[in-house]
Amino acid sequence: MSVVADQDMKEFKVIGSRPIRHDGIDKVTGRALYGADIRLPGLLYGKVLRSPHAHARIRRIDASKALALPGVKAVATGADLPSLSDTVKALGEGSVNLKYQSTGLLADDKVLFHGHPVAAVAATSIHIAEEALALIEVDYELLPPVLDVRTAMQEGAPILLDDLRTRELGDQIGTQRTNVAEHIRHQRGDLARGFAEADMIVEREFTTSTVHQGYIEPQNATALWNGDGLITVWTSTQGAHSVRSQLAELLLLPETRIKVIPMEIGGGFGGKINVYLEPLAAILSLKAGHKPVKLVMNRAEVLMATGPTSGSVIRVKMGVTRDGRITAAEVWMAYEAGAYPGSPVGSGMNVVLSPYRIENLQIDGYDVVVNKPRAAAYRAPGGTNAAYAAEAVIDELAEKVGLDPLAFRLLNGAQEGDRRGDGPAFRRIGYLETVRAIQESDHYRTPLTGPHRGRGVASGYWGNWGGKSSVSASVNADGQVNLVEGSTDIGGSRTSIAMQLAETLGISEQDVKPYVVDTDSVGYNDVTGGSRTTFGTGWAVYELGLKLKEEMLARVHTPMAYSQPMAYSQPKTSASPSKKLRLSSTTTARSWRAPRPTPRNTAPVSPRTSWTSKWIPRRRAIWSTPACWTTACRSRPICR
Amino acid sequence: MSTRKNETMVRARINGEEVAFLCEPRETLLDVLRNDLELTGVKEGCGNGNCGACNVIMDGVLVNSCLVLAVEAEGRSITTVEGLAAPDRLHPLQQSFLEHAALQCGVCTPGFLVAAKSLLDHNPHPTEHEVRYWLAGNLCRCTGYDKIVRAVLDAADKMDGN
Repeated sequence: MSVVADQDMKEFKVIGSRPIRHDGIDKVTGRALYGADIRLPGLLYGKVLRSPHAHARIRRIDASKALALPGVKAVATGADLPSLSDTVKALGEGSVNLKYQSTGLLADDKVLFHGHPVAAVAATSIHIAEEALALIEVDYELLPPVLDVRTAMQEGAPILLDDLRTRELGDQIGTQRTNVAEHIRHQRGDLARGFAEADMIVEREFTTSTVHQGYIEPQNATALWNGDGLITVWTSTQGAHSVRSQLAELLLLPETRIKVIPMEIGGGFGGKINVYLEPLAAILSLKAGHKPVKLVMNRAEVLMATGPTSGSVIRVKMGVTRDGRITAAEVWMAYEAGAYPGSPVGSGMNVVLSPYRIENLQIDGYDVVVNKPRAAAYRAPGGTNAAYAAEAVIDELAEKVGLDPLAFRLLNGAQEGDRRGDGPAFRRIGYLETVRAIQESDHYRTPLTGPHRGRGVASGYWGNWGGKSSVSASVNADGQVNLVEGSTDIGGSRTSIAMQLAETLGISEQDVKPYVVDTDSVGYNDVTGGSRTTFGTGWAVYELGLKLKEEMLARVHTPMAYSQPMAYSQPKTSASPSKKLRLSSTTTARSWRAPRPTPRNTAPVSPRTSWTSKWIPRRRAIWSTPACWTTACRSRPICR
Repeated sequence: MSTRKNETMVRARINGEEVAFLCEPRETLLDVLRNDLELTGVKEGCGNGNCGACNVIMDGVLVNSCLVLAVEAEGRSITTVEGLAAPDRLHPLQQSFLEHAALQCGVCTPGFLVAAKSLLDHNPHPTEHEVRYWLAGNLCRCTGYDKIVRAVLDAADKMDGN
């Protein structure tokens, strides 16, 4: 398949332009509705009671006084959630064990972090819900907390999860109670020989902190568990379909019974993929007699109980020859998973040192539970701390052997055919070309003047995952297009996706009306995350555009009985306009019967594209096509 | 709502309209704007005066509405993001934010717009430094601020031209 990017940029009319985004007016006038803005008839307001202890056993919960408070309609505890088996579920960016996700939503017999939900209340006002929380009695048996990986890995450390055993190098499962959920290793070459060949060895240890994504909009969820058994959820999420499947698995319900309506989202950065409030809102709605329940976190709850990225300890040891060639590297990295397994240490292992060609290499990674909220994706999950550690050592080596940082990278940088730390061979990546371009750049060569000025060089690796996207479009009688998509628009993707469809169809992006719709109204879409949406959903919309053109040409073509096949072309003045079709001219079947008032010589569909096609079939159309039709396209997962 | 305690009647002028509302003494202006007056363009990001997403102008002063009690609005004149645009056109700041792509997720945008309007009300010709200083009370996690600052400076230029 030919790739659009192979075309010269001059071929593009829409791609590369800077249109006003489709959702722009709503967002500058305050009209855009985010999750917390939803209001429904009979709405109840929920609040979550959170553990004030980082590690404790729950002896008893008594909610009777809270339930007796006028205005309180329901109280939910961990006992209201189904108990789930040990099943790991992929979330797009990262994965989660459902059993642990469930006990993380509402504690079972233990609380494992400060802020761990213990109970949830629904009431007729938020203030009553807050008062009710204070009436719930919880009897805790305090346990010593473990707050960093070094302590958690020590023998005799307090154990968070009684059933946790280390998954060691793939399939071997340990027999001891432990806080180490997994040990992974990537290895190649001969480490001892590599270090023996080195003239110089540098070894450094780095500690990075737990960091929160810090999106401005707190998590929220509103749910209606209706009397007919259908559940509707309004939420700000990076992936409505992911929320639907998480809910289905956590509540043991068929996905078809759940509809997730994605509201506008106020930032996520990876932190709005896991569900936190949605299942609680659903359970409360059921228990409150099928009334809608809305839960919105405050900032303190966001910081204590959602996200963060893993804190970590990373040791990097590298050897170089006197002339600057890397002979060996050994990396040890332990990542905080938070209260339940699933840190992005595997992703960190892919990132660390992948920009370099290293023959003798060993990377050990550990996924370690500590008494903090369970780690979530955050901007190249697990990658930034790994790259930080590796690049700091690379810089030091370059300095020690007396090489410019770029020269050092040119000597050791990976290129096509070299293998990443985790194994796969690179295809064409253009890394060394980039380094050479920097060497030539004035930004690098201009002398530094004045105090407090410097330059830094760092290299990093990150992969794009294609993922799955579904889109559909309806072409209307006016030649404009309604585009239906399921990818959360977190920063303008409605427009970037609409532009790709417009480019493919040869119309203006303003003639494409993009909508991000609920899970009942579009096929499956993976989350907006991992840098995939513009590419993955863009690919789907590109194929959709090709299919639309093909279908429309076929419909115009057949009844006309032309002897020569017609070509659909980009809308531009042509020497033989009679052979050109434009989108609106294939959709005007109705107008033969009732000509539109003054078509103004086929007025341009938008100011941006000035089409001058004069070709409009003047004969009465004999096909019975409705004035619009729909086609849908689902992109294959693309791994590259 | 019938479950409210010690309700107080408050009269204020909001986006040019005289309004009256009932509120509890413990309710913030932000609560009332969002929940009772349906002005959900005013956002809550932190509830403690750090992020500026709930910025409104009260009697000419830029305030975090999460730190103002609703009863304090008695007799005051308040402008929210919903009050910026004219019926037939956007405020130049709104237009400028669109043209400079000064928003990504958009949830901080109402606060930035109101804060920027307050700046231009006080100082129609701010320097870049003054814009950055004035907007220091508004947090944005997506854009990196640069486009926002440029949008405000450009809007100031254009308003000057009119």
